[in-house]
Amino acid sequence: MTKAISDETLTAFLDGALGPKEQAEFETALADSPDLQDRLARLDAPLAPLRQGFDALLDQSPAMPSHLHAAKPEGMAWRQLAAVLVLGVGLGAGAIWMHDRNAAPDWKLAVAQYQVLYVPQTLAIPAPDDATRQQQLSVVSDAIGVDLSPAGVASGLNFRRAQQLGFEGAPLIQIAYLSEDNQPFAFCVTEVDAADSAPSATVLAGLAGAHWVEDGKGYLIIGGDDLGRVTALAGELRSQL
Amino acid sequence: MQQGLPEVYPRLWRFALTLTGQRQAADDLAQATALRALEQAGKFQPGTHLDRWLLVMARRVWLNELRSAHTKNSQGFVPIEEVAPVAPGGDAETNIFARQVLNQVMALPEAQRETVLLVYVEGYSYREAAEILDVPIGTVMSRLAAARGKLANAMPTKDGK
Repeated sequence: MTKAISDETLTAFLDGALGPKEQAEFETALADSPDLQDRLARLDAPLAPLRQGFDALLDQSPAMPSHLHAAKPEGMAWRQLAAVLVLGVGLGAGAIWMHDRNAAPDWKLAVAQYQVLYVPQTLAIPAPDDATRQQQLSVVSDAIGVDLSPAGVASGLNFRRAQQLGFEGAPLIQIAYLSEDNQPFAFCVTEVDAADSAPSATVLAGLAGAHWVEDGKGYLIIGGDDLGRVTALAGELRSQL
Repeated sequence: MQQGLPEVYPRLWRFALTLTGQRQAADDLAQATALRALEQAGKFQPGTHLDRWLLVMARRVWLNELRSAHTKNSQGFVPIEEVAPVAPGGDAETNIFARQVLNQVMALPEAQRETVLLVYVEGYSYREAAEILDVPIGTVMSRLAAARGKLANAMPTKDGK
């Protein structure tokens, strides 16, 4: 190999990005050249710790919507409170828009579009007694394969009923509550094909929702318009289940 | 996209942190990008890569709208300890080394930082990184070579990694 070998070529070698022919040529040249070996060593950066360091940063990322929800109109001029308000509208509009054209409908949107029809009168039924509540929760727990009995109690929410619905052939559990301030809430669980994710809040069909995934199950608590409230409820429910 | 965005958000934020080098600016940039993504959801082609689409958008927002305003207030490089405190747990010595390397990356010029992140952390190919950054592949390679030289010089690879 007579032509000069560039640092870019050395880098591509270290990155395993050379083609088979270049790779073979390079290896031949490398074997005969202490100079090349030395140059290679001087480009051999510690990539494994680099990845480790960057991957650790992921844990420190704020969750998207809770951060947006908590954003204060301070700091740079470009970020205005208006932008945060617009975002709420954008989230809702985006959600509806995506539902129209997304080939695989989002179960959370389906829940939201159902939940938005709930009014306080829908749940103006007497709270079931403890035995009935436990019995309902036991049935839906069996259906979904998760013990949902702790979800019979949630801060500021009064349990009304637990029932099995379905979405795309899979069970979808709905636990309905009426909040102490008389708003309908629902906690829903279904099977999802997604990696675990921490709770994140979004606006769905105009309702505040917080969603997370754990062990192949998607969880959604939805109701009202307070993203902070559903985020807190999501944290509470998740820790109890 | 509505569903995918929160899942990609931590990676988007990490990219924003790499671009800006500062936590507040990273929070702002990630948020502004998410907002823009939702506004422009109609332009996203379902079935294509949401992550790349968002990273391209984050760069655009940063370069066109935020960087000049941000740079006026910038005090330059901020050690990563101030940006993101050490998470507990893990092997202490390994963590310290990882954070030292992270600091070295953050001290690189912006163009090298973002290229290092895309190729060595996110795992994009040279070609994919070139598309995201809108530069020729040769530019990606020369940035990586330059970054490697500085990182290897500052932080020699431990024997046996």
